[in-house]
Amino acid sequence: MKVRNFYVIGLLLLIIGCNKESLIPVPTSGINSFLKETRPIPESSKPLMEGIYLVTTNTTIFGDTMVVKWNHSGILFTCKNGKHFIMNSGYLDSVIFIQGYWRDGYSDATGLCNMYISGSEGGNDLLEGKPAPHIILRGAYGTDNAAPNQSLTLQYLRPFSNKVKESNFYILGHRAGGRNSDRLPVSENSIAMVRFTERLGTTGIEVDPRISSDGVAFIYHDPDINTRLTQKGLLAGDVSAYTWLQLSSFVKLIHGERIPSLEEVLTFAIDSTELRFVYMDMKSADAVPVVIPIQQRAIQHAKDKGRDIIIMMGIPDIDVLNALMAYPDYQNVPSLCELTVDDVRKVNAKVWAPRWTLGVQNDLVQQMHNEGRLAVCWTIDSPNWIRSYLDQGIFDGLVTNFPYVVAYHHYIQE
Amino acid sequence: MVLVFLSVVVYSQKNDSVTVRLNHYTVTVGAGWTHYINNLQVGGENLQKDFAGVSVKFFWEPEHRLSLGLESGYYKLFRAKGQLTDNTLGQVDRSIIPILFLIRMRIIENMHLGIGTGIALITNKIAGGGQKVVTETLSLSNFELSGAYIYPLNKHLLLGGEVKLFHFGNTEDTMYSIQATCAVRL
Repeated sequence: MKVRNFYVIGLLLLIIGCNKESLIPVPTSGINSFLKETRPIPESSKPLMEGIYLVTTNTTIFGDTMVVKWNHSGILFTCKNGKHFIMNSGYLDSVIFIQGYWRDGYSDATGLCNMYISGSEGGNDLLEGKPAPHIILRGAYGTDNAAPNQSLTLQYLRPFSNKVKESNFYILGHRAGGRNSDRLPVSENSIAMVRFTERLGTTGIEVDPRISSDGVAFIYHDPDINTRLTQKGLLAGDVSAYTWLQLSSFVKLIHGERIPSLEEVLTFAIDSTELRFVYMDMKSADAVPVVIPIQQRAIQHAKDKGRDIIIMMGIPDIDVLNALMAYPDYQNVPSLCELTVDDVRKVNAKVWAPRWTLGVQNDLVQQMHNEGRLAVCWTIDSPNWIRSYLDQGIFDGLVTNFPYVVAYHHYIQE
Repeated sequence: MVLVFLSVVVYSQKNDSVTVRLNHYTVTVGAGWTHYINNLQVGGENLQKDFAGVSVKFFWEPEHRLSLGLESGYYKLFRAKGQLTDNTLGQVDRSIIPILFLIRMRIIENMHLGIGTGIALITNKIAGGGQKVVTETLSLSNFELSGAYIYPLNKHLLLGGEVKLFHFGNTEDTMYSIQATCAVRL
């Protein structure tokens, strides 16, 4: 082949490689959805369905086992290889219907899925609120929007272990629960993501507070307005240079949502989700004195509503640490420190959050536990590392972009 | 664009049979009409897209078809008006100062094709509601395609016209410009 051809192929690959990743459309059953004919599953039935299931068909795709776990909005099936099912449910007579879609977190693969539990295979007992030791979920999955035609059968193996039931482990979704680069149906750092993220298995979120030029705290990851995070619009450059009114009026996130204020996000997380942890990863030291009163109001609001939720100010660098220490009574500000354990003690942070590349650090984590502090690790995405950290570490939570993988490895623990 | 680039590289290796020239330099100034290709997803409804733009270029023209140069200029991309609140209008202006490295080749007598790449300073201004905000962003991946007709009036003075297409990577803005040019051969 001539050298020139190599140049042409190389340049074409470069150009194709520079194309923006497109959204993976969420498959939908549309008018063929049968769930609208069904009634909501009783709350008492849900925990009885949760547990570990054996996959008895198509194990090469989904592995041998799946974790089935209810969340605030629906039900999640998750596998160890990143494939997960975001499902809704209902029942008719004694049959439980479960319908939704599956996705592979590590590729573009997705498709519809329809499942059911017949009355004789667990439906009767579950709907009466009785344990059903022989639940069988039968159904099929498909590819993209095509009708499901590949058989999928799950057989109940066991409930979650006592270790799992008694643990207070936090699965923290990065960037309010999920990143744009994972091509989720809602934008990172948006209210829509806070609503959606529990469907991926999260029990907490990490958000990125900044302040506008007129002192309003909002959540947005990057320092500038760009087409990775926003729809192409009229504003460009430093996001914090703009007023809140300008940002609200002229900027839309990649899926069309408005940039949310921090206060909106915290209020939504408290009022409309079951999330138990909010980790505010401060993006600027200037934001510290603005965020503290918002944090205090949110904590009070959660207390008034009887919500069990931790809201922590993250300290990612020395600038934020110094800004916090310049605040009166800073040792009583609930904080999460990513720096050394000495810094944790200095600001009396309630949580230590080392980066995952430093290892499990069980001795230091144990020291934190002995001092009544929590320890969470960020941001860990590889399935093997996730399993390794859960098996060998003693962290109280993990920040991740793949919460369904953490969920699988956490809930399956003996 | 890739094919154009490759054609330029390959074709430029041939000897220039049209005229034999000595090594020389030219300075070119241009002015004309610019048009912004509106690909805004938000706020693109009431957009003013046509403005005047100016450019300045410096070229080294050796005795081959290929010339190398630098180009800068000033282009306003768009002006937009949008509602900040029920009673307040906001006005947004975006302008660009590119600094591009150019490769230009004479295709036939007086006709040139060129490509360029380089940096660009993008300035965004918003005013309204008693607030004015100016931000500046350095865009690192920018491209230009151009076609020019250059007629030599005499040994030192050349007049012509040029059509240019720009793409600015940071903001994903694209515009084209049609300019009258005047070049002085040094």
